[in-house]
This record gives sequence, C-alpha cells and structure tokens, in this order.
Amino acid sequence: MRTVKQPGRPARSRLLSVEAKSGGELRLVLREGDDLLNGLAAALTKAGVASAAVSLAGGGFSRMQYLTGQPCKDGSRVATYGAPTILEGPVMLLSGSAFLGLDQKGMPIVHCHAVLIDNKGKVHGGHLPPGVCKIGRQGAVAHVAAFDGAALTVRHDAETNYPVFHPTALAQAKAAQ
Amino acid sequence: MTARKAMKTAARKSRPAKRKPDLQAPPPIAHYPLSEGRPGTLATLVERGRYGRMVLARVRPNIDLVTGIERVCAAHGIIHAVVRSAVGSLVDAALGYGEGESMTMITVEGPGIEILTMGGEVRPDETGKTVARLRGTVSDSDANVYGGEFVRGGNPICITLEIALQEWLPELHVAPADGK
Repeated sequence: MRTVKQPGRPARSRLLSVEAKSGGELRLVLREGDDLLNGLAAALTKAGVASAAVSLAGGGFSRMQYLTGQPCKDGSRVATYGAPTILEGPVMLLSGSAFLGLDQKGMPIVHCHAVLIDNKGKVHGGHLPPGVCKIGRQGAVAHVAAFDGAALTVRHDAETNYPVFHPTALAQAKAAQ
Repeated sequence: MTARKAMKTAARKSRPAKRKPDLQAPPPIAHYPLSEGRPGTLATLVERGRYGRMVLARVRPNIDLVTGIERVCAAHGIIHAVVRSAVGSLVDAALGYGEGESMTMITVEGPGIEILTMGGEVRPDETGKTVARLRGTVSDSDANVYGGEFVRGGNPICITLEIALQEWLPELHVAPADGK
C-alpha cells in the first residue's frame, strides 16, 4: 500500500470517533431551481438538524458542476481539486453521499460527493460544490440520519493543510445521559 | 523526470492495470448452506433486529480504509454495523470485481481519488472475526468513475474519510425465510 507524506506533522491519533444516538430519520425532496448543497443545508437547518449523514437517493440537475482530485504541484498539500467539469442538463443524479455539519463560523455546511450520468449517457462523479448544482425538473431525494449528542465540525487540519470535518461529542448531550 | 513520475504518467495515460489481487482476497459474501430446493442458489436469510448506536468517525491519511473502519468499530465494541454515509479521498484505490478464482482487482492511481459512494456492512466472518465488506464508486483526476469492492490493504486514505456507521443489533435466532 502506497502512502504519501503530508505537508504537516502527522497527528498521533489516526482514528477519531464519537458515538451518537439517532437524532431521527428524515426524507427530503428538493425542488426544481434549488441548489443541491445550499438547499440541503437550509432544509435541514429549518428542520432543527445541525449534523447528519445524508444519502442521496436520486434526482436531476438542470445545470451542475463537480470537481475531482489531482496531485498538488506546489507541495502545500498532497492533493488538490482540478478545474470544474461543467455539465448542462438534464444530468441525472444516480447516487451520492454527504454530511451536514458546522463550519468554522458555526454555520451549516455540506460536504457532498456524487455519481451522475450526463445527457449523452456518460457516467461522471466527484465533489459537488455549493451554489453551482441547480436541481432540475426531477427534483432530488435525500434520506437523512440526524445525530443526537455529537456533531461534525470543520477544523483546520495541520497535517493535510485542509479544513475538514471532525467528529465532536456534544457536552450538553453527555451531561444529559 | 524521476522513475516514479514516469511510472505514474504511464499509468495515467493507459487504462488502469487489471490483475489478479495480490492482496488478501475478501472472503465470499455468505457462508449459509445452499437451498436444497434451489440448487446453486443461496438460501434466503432473514435476520430480524434493530439499529443501535451511531458512530461518527474521521480516518486520517495513510490508514487503510477497510481496516480503519474495522478498528473504529472495535474501539466502540461494535460487531455488526452498516454504513450510513461516507465521503473522502484515497491515495490510490484498489477495487475488486467478480468472485472467487476469477476475482480481479483494478487499481486507480492518485493521489486524490475521490470516494463517491460507499455502502456495506461490518459483521463477524465464519471465524468470528469482525470484518468490513465495503463496495462503492470512486473517481480519478480525469473524472473517470470506477466501482467495486474496496480491497483490504489497498485503499490508503489521502486527506480524510468521514464516515457514519450505525450499529445493527440482530436478534439471536436466525432462520432461513423458506423454512428449510
């Protein structure tokens, strides 16, 4: 197995994990014209959910873009994103995985990867950024497992030089147990 | 250009290498007896149970995906679990397809291979050891998409893996659905 040298010193603990209770299950339908990531974040925030695992069951886009990883040439990071691939609709969302959590300012943020098929039948996939994935006529369906007692919070990771989600136990929930 | 760079460039331009797995092959999917009435098919197995605790985890760089998830489960005393969502990236990906003797492994060179979707289970194998069986899709830097089973020992995490696992608590009695 090939390993890579990260720009920062490796953190001692290689696995971070916290337990949570189920905070409820939700099914969500985003409508035509919504942005996928912003729509997910807004709908879940309105439903009182701050952190959750999201499974995208399917849907479509009228226009969208995604990013894929590539080696980073300047040495500041091991990998970085290349130029976006822009797809004109209708683009079908085949499946996707996402997490809702809180960014460094405490605002909701969604991290989402998905598999897509374009209007010529070619399969695509990558990282979907916020604000550029416009839901089409099919809408989009998400199944959501909310967390109770734990959250995902973005922290800057010195080892990789990226802000990434970290599982965080919520003290309030601990006290309540 | 260094030898390593040259090798990587060649690999990127050509189709990904297909070869027999040189790593430990995953065990077969199930070990239940074949149904007498339907030779060659696996007896349907119905397991009743309920979902339990959720575990949110981050796996750091250079840790193997499959063994990392098994270690997360072990740390929480979880022996049965399902993947609820997973987002992350790999240095390189090793994905298996086919089965048994004809199982083939495809390797996709990164770094920066995106894990697009991942599903699967954690449960004890026939020896009682808790193992993760994970399948999914990844994309490379040219936005090509590949799928298969994540091969143990072949999928080092690149930047991060975020994963939510949920414990599955089976009832003790297990019987085939067709009553045989």
